[in-house]
Amino acid sequence: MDTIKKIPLIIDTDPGDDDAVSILWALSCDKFDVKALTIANGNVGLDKCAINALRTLEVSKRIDIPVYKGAWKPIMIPAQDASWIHGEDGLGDAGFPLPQTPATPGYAPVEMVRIAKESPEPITILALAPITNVALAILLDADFKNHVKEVVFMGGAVAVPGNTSPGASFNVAADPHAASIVYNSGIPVVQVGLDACDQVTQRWEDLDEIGQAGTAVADFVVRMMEFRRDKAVKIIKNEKGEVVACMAANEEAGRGKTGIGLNDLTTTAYLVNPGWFKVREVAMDIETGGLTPGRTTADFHGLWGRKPNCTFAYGVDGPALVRRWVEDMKAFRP
Amino acid sequence: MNENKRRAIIIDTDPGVDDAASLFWVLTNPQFDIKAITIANGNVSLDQCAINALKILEAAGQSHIPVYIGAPDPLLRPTVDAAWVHGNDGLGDAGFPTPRVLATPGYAPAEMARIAAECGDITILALAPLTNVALAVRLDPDFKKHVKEILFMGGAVRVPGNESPAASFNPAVDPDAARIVYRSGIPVVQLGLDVCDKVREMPEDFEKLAAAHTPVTDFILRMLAFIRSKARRVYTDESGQVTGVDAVQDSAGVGLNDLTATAYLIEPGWFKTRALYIDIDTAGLCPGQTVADFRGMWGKQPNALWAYDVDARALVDRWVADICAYRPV
Repeated sequence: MDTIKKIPLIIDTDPGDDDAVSILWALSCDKFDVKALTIANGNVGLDKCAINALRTLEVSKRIDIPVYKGAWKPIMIPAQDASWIHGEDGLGDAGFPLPQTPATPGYAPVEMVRIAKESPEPITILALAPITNVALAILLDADFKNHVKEVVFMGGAVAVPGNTSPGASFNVAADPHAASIVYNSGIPVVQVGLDACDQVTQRWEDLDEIGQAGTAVADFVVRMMEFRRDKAVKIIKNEKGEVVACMAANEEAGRGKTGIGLNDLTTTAYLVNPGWFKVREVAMDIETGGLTPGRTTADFHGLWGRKPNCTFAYGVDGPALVRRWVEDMKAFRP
Repeated sequence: MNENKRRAIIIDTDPGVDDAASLFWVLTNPQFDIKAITIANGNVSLDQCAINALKILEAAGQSHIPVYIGAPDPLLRPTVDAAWVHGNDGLGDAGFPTPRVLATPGYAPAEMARIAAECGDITILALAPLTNVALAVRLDPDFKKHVKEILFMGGAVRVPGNESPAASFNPAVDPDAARIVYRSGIPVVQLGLDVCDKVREMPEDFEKLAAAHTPVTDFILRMLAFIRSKARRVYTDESGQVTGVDAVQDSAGVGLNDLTATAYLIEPGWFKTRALYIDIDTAGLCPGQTVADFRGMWGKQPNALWAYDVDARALVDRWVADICAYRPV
């Protein structure tokens, strides 16, 4: 069926266990023509993220897809990571072998511009990391925005608490200035952030079901998730050093002991089937100052006098999404 | 009623039609010992707010309660008003007569500190930007020990703001004052848009007020005619295209926000609350935003009781009943 046009896609990513499973899902779907993985500094350092992207491509037998490394730090602020949830190596410290393939030479933002301009159709960018690379591409080339259909972004928290500060989610908090550049660029942004992601749970039985498939992909997914499942804990102390809060990956968003939330997977799901989501067009801006930099502020009542720049996802059919992901992972035999 | 059992309160207010509706409600309830009404700059100018408070006390027959005028401007920023909601005179431009009684000499924050020290256990119902309360906190280091709690109409946590996309009017007008108060150590009960947005006064409620036909119900209905028909604000982009419209009266009724905050004084059992650490954003896109730390990420003990749900009908029914039953002293 070569008459069906595939969606030309760049995945900007910082693997990250939930990035890795999202890349696997995108590669398992016929719907996408993945042009490149561009690597952002985020969940762990840039080089580790590149290694994990290459590991994921090797498991998928898709080393034909280039991996370009991007900016090594955020635009204005020091880098922060999320190794508490992803493990020191970003893939749950499961001891996966180093990849045999190297990253492809080239700077991610430059390659992003080139690929977008070479594509006959405007490209879609699935942004699963702090969006430093996308912001730099916008700043490099004034015409870039005309070659991008939309940026589907895992980031933001509007009516729910943040996961990195009380008001901001990780990918925006880690580079608020980059997010501000992207949201104000004129490129349509689909914000699939914590408002939707918090509604989705991958239950233990879902992970077990994938594991029972016994494939190389299934083994990779299940081993990678053991850390998040059993060990990922962040202790918060006050000035006196007393423990005041304890965040666990499986308790985020009130999931309790039933499962985990693989946020990037929910964002990727928007490209797999937008019909699972409830969305609303809104003017959205990014806080770069104040108490919680990286907060996404939505103007629901039009007080700013701006036209919508963002499709905000506020609802999702979590069970349908997870079921489809489980089926796709079980069936993915590269 | 035994004088000792009455609860000592100060009402810090910027009347304002919903302030007026709230003041009448408290004045009808003998369990409160209203020590003073302190006037804040807010909905309309300071002097106009003071005149309005005096008009309300006169209509209620309680002109013995002192009215102290407070700070004319926010701590650090230019003042902002809400005349679009309240009318130019703050009471719906209904042409009420000038009051005969004058405001009492004295600065509101100083009087607030004095009264708090005398009572030792005062409750402050704060229906305006918190400039006066912040100044009292700064004037007297012991002030915080003399205040039981501050019931504050302000904030928006899970809902949009009404002054900017993320901030409600009272903290948006003086974010710095709000930060001083929230960080002062005085317990704050935040009765903001999260609960106020759920409460609507309906046409049938106003019909009941009209049927009672007392001086107070007549005052309230005359005052509310403006917001029930004219109060409207339109937002446009650079090309003049409308991006949003605010109307106080919508298909679901009228929202008198201060009334919802006042209801917590009357019957806290109508509310669902949660203890949280809340801070006030003074910079960024939406100064005055109330940021709640639900997950303890800031490593702080709770400083506020955040009201997130309310029995709206019980509250409005009680307000209507109390107002209808009241006969000026």
